[in-house]
Amino acid sequence: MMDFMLWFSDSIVNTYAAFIIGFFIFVNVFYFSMYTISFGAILTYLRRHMFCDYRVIMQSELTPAVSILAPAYNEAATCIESVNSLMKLNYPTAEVVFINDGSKDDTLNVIIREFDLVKTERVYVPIIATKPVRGIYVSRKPEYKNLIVVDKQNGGKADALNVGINVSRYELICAIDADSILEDDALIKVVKPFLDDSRVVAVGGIVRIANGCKIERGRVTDVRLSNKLIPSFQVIEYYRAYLSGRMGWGAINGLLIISGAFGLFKRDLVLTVGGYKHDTVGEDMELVVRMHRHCLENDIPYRVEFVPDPVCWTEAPETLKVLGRQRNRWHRGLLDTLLIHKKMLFNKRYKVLGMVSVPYFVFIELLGPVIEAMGYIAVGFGYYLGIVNLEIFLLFFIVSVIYGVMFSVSSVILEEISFHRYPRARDLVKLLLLAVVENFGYRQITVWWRIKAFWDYARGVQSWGVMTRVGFKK
Amino acid sequence: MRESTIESTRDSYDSRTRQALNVYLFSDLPVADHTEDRQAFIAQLQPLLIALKIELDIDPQARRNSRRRSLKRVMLQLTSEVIGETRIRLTRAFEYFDFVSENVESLDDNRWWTRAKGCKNAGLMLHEAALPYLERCLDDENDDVRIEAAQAMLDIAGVDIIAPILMRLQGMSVWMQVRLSRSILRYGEHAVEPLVAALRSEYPVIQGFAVEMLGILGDVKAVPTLLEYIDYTVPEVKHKSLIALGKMGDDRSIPVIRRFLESADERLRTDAARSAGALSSPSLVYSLHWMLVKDTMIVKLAAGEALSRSGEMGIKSLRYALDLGNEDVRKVALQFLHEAGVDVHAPRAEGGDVL
Repeated sequence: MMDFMLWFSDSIVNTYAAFIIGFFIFVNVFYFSMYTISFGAILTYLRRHMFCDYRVIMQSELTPAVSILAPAYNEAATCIESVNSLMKLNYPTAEVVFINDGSKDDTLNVIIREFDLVKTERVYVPIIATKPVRGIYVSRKPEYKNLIVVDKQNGGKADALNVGINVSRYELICAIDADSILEDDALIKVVKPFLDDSRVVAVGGIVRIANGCKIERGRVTDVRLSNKLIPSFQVIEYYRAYLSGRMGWGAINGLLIISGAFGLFKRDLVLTVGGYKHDTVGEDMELVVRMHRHCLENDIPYRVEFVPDPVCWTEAPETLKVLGRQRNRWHRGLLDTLLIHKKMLFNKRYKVLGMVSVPYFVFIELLGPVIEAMGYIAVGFGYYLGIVNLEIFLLFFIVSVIYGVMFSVSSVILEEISFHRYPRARDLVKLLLLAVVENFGYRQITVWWRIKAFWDYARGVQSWGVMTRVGFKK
Repeated sequence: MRESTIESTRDSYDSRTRQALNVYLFSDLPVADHTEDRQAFIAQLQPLLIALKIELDIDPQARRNSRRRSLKRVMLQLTSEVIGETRIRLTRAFEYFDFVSENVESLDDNRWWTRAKGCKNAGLMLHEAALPYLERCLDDENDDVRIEAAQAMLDIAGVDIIAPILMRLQGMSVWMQVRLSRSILRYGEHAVEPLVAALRSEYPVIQGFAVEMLGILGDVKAVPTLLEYIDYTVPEVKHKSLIALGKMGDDRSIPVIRRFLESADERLRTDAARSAGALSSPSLVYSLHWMLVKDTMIVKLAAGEALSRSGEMGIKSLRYALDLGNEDVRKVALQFLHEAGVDVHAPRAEGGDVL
C-alpha cells in the first residue's frame, strides 16, 4: 500500500511537473513570437517616423480636434499642475475637460480660484447615463478658453469619464489620468494612426515610470532610473508589457488593453457602445474589448493600434503594499472583463481576438500565476522530497527563470535600440541587472498578488484600494 | 565610440564638401538674372560644375564614394536653405552629378522606405525629369510612397499639377490630405481652379478633400460650382460642402443652406445650422428658430449657436425661446444667450421680442 502511495504521488508530481514545463515552454514560445512581431512593428514605426514631420500635423486645419478627459477625485494638491500641463500640450485644436468626481477635498474650489472659472448655463446632454452634473464651468481668462471644468456627484472614474464624453465636443477623446504627465508631442503622435488609416477606432500610447526622473513645471526634463528597487522593477515590467507585448498585439489587431492613463478613441464609437462600464475595476480594458466586439459583430472594418513613442509618464507605487493593491485591482479587472466577454473565447466569429488574444489573456495572463505558483510548489517540494529528479528540476528552472530573464533582457535591449530613453550608461547596466534579479523573488510576489485577486473577486471586492502616491518631485 | 568616430569622419567630409560647393553656388556670373535668359544662365554653370568635380576627384579612388555621398547629403541639406537663383544652381548640380537618374532608379527598389526616400529626394532635387517616374509611384501600394510622390510632384511642377494628381489618385488617407494641403494652400487663389476641376474625380474622398480645401481657401469664386455640385454627391461630401459654404460666407449660399435646414438627415441639418451660424444672416433666423423649437437636442444646440451669431434678430429669437414653456428649448436659449454675453434679466425692448 505504502509503495502504491509513493508511486502514485510520484506519478502525479512528475506529470504535473511535465505539464508545467510544457506550459512554460509554450508561454515562452508565444512570448518570443510576440517579441518578434513587436520588433518588426517597432522597426516599421521608426521607418515611417522618418517620413513624418509632426509640425505639419500641428499646423493643419485638417487635423482632427481632440477632447482631453481628465477625471479627478481628491486631487486638490496636484490639479493645478495637471491642468496647466494639459493646456500646454502641442496640438492645434484641443479642449481639456476636467471632471471633478465629487471630490471631498478642495479640488473644485482650488481650480475655480486658479483659473478664474465661472459657472455657465451650458446644457448637459446625458447621451450616456451618468450621476448628476452639478455645474459646468469655464474660465474668464482667454488663455484658458479651451478649459471646461465639470463638477459632478461622485460616481467613480468610469462615470466621470462618461460625463467627460457627454460634455466633449470633438470627434476624438483622449482619456488620461489627471495625475499623469503627457509629453508635449504625445497627442500629436498618438493621433497619427487616425490620420494614417480611417479604420482606426482607438490608439494606446506607452506609459513610462516617472519615479526618479527630474520633473519641472509639469514636464519630465531629465529621465533617470529611480534609486528604489520597486519602481525600477516596474520599469522592466512596463517595457515587457508595452514594447514587447502591446506593440505586437497592435500589429495583429488583437490589442485588448489601452491603459486608462493614456488612450485616444473615436467618440462616435464610444458613444455607440455606451461608454465606460462603471461596475468594473477594469473599465479601460472592458471598453476596448466591447469596441472590438461591436465592430466584429457588426462587420465594421476597424483597427485598434498601439504607438510606442508618445509618452505618458506616471508615478509607480514605491512600496510593496501599494503595488500589491494595484496588481490585485488589475487582475480583478482582467478577470471581470474576461468573464463579461467569455463568449469570445475560441469563437471564430471574433477572429484574432477570439482565437488568439482572449485565449492568451485567459490561459497565460489570468490563469498563468496559478499554474506558475503550483509549479513552484510541486517541483520545489517534489525535488526536496526526492520525488522529482534533478533533470526535471533543472529543466523547470531553465524554462521558468532563464527564459524569463532572456525575455526581460530582450525587452530592455529593444528599448535601448529603438527609443533609448535612459541616456545614462549606469541606468542601462542597472536595468539589465534588474532584468535578471526580478526573476528571483519579485516575480513570485506578483504571482501571489494575482492569485489573491481571485479570492478578492470571489468575495465581491470592488474597491480600487487606496493608491498612496508620493507625488512628483519638483 | 564607433558611432562617434563615424560621425566625426562624416562631419569632416561634409565640411570640405560644403566649402567646395560654396564656390559653385555663390560665384558671380556674367548672366546673373536667370529669369531673362534661363538657357544662358544654365550654360554658364558648366565650368563651375567641372571645377567642382575636379575638386571632389582629388581624393584617392577609395574615398570617392564617401565624397560623393557627402556631396549628395550636403546638397540635399542645402535645398531647404537656398532659394531663387542659387536653388537653380543646386538643381543643375543634382543633374550634373547624376543624382537625379540615380534617384529615379531607387523608385523601383523593393523596399518601400527606399522608394519613399527616393520620392522625397526627387522633390528636393526639383528636377522635372523625375515627374513621369513619380507619377507611377502614385499607384504604389505603400501610403508613404504615394504621399512622398505626390508631394514631390507638387514641389517640382507647382499649382498646375494639383488637378492631375488629384484626378489620378484613387484614395487619400487623412495624413496624405494633411501633407498635401500644406502645399496646396500655399498657392492661395491660384489653387481654386484645379481644386474645382478635382471635384470631377469619381472618388468621394478626393471630392471631399477638394471641397475642404476650397472651404479653407474661402475664395467665393468656387461658390457657384459648390452650389451646383452639392446635390449630386454623397452625404459625406455634402457635409463638407455645407461647412465649406459657411466658411466662404457668400449670400448666394443662403437658399441652399435653408433647404438643407429642412433635410431629413439629422447630420446635414446640424451642418446646415453651423453653416448658417458662420454666415450670420438674419434671413435664416426664422428657419433656425423653428429648428431650435422642434428639432432634436443635437440640432437644437447647433441652431442655438447659429442664432447667437445671427445678430440682433438671432438674439431676439433666443430671448423669445426662453418663454415658450419648453424646458430643453429654454436651457439651450439660456446657454447661448449667456455665451453671447446677454443679460437675460435685463428689461426687454418695448413691444417684447416678437419675431
